[in-house]
Amino acid sequence: MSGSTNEPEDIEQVLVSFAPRVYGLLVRLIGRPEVAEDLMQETMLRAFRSLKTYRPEGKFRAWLFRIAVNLARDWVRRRPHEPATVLDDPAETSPAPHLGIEMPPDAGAMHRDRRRRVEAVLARLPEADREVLLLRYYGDMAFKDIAQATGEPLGTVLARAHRALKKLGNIIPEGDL
Amino acid sequence: MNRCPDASEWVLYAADELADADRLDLQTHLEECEACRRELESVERGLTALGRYASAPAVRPLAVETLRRRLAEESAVRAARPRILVLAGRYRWAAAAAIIVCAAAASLLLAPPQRAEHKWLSDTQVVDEMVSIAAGIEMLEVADSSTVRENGVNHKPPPAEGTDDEIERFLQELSSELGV
Repeated sequence: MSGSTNEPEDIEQVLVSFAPRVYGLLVRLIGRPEVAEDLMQETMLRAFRSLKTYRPEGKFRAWLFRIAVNLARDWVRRRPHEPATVLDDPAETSPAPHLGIEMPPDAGAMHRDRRRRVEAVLARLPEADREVLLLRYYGDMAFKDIAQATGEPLGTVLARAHRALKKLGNIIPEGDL
Repeated sequence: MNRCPDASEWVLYAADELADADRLDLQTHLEECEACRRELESVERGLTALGRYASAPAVRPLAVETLRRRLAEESAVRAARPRILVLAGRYRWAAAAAIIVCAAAASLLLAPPQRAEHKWLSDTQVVDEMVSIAAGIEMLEVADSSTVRENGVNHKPPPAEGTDDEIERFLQELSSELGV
């Protein structure tokens, strides 16, 4: 976050600009769109109220996503019996232009098939491994920032990422990068 | 670098998050290690799958609007917060100390006048008092006997059938003589 975002209106604007990414992360972590909306709002309000605890030496997005991750973890702890939803219906999901993530045009059946398989792999990952990949994807965060956001050592984060990425990598045939 | 690096190093390599010197070391190792080349390619395919095929549920515009409104409300509440509360929050410990001092001073200044304290006697004093009273009673009982005179208590005998005032006066005189 730059030093110029000190006015309340600027801060509000920054937080609103992060809403799609924070919502995306939350809905994938807890699998309930309506709950994710509430938690996204709660994340932003908490961030707004506790901006004084933010230390500029850390990354703003890591700090913000940490609030979101903690809220998601709390929610999952309170509702341990609700499995994460596999969001594999193309009508419910979309490529991510709203996140500023460049996606290739839909290449037809193969593309849809790979999307479904990626969704299935993500849904089956251990929660902590999924958290790391989702922070990478939705937060567009470096792994050291993910370590900051999850409160785990960098080595642990990298081990989780390595394990999860290898499972995802199996979806794409060798030499098809 | 001859030894294969830890597998998680390839995650940082693929994500382009290594310092130049470390990256160069790994590149050198890759040229001579087929197993690590396969390891790296597997990680790169994972990152590609994540970036290309993971889908992102879009947030509803209404939810964003609600967020905007709630943040604006929060901001307005903060702006309307009286300056004194902001300062009180910042200097809350000093404020608490000042309140305690003021309350203590007020309690001293406004406290009702103290009533005469009831004076409690020590055990020794109680015993002494009881002995004195008993001695007084005993002397009263024998006051009309000749024993009093024999012991040097020079007093008129009590009126056998005196008025109440006479009896009272007699008792006071007797008491003062006995030191009761």
